[in-house]
Amino acid sequence: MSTVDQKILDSLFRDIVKFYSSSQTSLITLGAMTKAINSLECEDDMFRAQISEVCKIITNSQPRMFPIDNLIILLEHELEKNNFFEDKDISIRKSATIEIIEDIVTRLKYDLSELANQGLDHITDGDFIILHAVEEPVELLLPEAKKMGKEFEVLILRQESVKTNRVIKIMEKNQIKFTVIPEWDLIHHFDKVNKLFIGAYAITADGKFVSDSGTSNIVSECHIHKLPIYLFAPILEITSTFSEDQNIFLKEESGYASGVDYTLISHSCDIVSLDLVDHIITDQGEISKDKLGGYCIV
Amino acid sequence: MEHAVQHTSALIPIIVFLVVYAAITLELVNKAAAALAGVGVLVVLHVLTEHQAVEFIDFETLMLLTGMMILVILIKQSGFFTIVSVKIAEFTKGNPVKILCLFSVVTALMSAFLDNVTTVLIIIPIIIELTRGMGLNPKNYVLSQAIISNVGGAATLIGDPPNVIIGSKVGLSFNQFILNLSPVIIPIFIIVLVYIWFINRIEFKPINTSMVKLVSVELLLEKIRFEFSNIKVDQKLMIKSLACTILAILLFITQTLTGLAPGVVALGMAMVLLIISQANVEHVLEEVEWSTLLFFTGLFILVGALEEYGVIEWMAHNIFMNVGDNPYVIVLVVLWVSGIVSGFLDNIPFTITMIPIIHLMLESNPIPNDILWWALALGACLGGNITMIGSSANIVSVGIAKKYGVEISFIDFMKKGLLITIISLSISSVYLVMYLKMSL
Repeated sequence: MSTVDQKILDSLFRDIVKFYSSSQTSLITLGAMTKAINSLECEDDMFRAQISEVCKIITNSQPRMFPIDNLIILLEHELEKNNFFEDKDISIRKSATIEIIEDIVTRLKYDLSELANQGLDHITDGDFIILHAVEEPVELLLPEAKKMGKEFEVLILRQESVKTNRVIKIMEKNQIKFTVIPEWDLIHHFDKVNKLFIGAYAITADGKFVSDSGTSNIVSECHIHKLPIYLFAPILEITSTFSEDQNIFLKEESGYASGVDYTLISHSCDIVSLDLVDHIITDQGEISKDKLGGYCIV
Repeated sequence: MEHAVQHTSALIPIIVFLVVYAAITLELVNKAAAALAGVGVLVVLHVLTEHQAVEFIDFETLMLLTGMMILVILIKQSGFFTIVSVKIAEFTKGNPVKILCLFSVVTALMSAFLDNVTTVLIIIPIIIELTRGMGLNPKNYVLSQAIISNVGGAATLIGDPPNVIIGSKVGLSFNQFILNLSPVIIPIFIIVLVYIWFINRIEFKPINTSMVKLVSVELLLEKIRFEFSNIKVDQKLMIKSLACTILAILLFITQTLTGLAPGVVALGMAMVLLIISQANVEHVLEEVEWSTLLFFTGLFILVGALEEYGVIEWMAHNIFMNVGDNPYVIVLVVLWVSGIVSGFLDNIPFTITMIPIIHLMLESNPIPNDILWWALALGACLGGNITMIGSSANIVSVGIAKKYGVEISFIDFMKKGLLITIISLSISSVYLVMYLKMSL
């Protein structure tokens, strides 16, 4: 496995997850794998190695990302179970692998639609919901709730422009009433808002969740103000690994301010304690954080 | 005295011209400011009257440039270029050879029929994103597109500023440019492309043998699609602006039937488009490169002054006509001198200076079929590939690349550009010699 390939894919993941939720990024990645398998030209006996290499790079991504991480493990299990169709020629192996990926895609899509259904119970008319990044509630739940005729409003916390612009675009497209404020201005809005909706990249075995950068501050502030915090995540985002194993990416950039050169250090995502979250909503309904381990599928 | 420099009085325009030329070449001041300051000095010192100065301006060239700029600005505003770039990126599927070939074809065509600076402004960012995301070195791709934009721009009257100037000042039509230059530009384009592929062939290996690379490319295309899809697309404006541009090109082609000069057509269609699109004229005018237009204006006046004082005639007689009266030698001298000079100095002032010189050369040595003009056009456009300062497209490409963290040094550019220019000018030499042989 080349470190250059790993770095390229890591950087692409980090970029794409700014525009889409981790679930949507997973669907895009599975789609990319299907297209890649169709275009791949290699020796019969190299096909398995090629698939393994991609799987390894995805599961080692910086940061690790779910549900794709779990889905890749499922894919590997399925391939092993079928002994990877070893006696077949490459075209059969290709189509069988694609078939497994398509099954996984179908499963994830079903889980996501179930997540949206489960989430609908937590939106009521008159809600004023805080959002800050392109996560599952933004992509799936709120548009669905709007379609169902629910009347609510959202407060978008402006952070990195690419993320905020995308949230605004989705709200505008779905005709959801929204107000945009800088993240640091939230303190002035606690008398109006009544819920915080967030998503996650992963829910870890040590009672934490990995989420978009900026989540920790907002969750902490809302927790202090006793605002109900809802975390929406498909079961496939629950991992048996710990928060310190999530390969959080540390970025160092050089900056310049008023004649002073400095180094700007930032992390690709936040790690937040589930203790701060009031409701964990999954595709199988609301679950308590004590029972999360039992839902881990891999 | 008729063919001689009016010694004392000619000194001022010569000095002013040389100072302006040096200031432009060394990039000491803004080009337009330098040229217009030079004009100011000539008027203040009574070398020229303001009325004489205005008479030297070639309004046909300015109209053509202004019209084409407005058409291109509105096409750009419509989002057309972005759509084209993303579609090509998708079509290449990350194949390095396809990226090189498809982007080169589009760059060449866009440079030929629009302008090469706009072309590289659109193409370079997307090619950097695409190649960098695949782990390839974007430098070779940036260099290739800058070079190809100069090659493509050489094919038509509107493709590159030297051609616009030659076409307008000499009265050569759009069709004459296409008919006389495309037979040599097409093989140059192909040979240059093959050469670029050959010298970078290790890097242009296909990626479909690596699943990881194929997955990366698909994700990269998704990212590019998203990033570029955020640019507003105005379909109505796109249809109107493309229709007006196509109509303008058709009117260029049918110039002999309509009798409409390219400048009139370009500016006329630009005005039609401004009216029918109901575009915000102030915003459009803000994007027009006034600095370039003023630069042209100033240079026309400065060269006009040199002409008025007999300097051009003196240069023609004492420098260019000293090569003898062999038409082959004259054509090749014009081609190679134009090529070499354009590589190191701005080809716009050079072309404006050369036009009256070539007029005089043609008076004493008539060369058929405008071959001397084609030699000047090919030399001035293709010579721009020698260095990164040889053409506006090169400067812009290197500048964008730098913004994206891709450093291209003067030497990096020259290493590739010099040999490509020698190849291009050699092919042009063969073509012009054959053309001359058939014409004599």
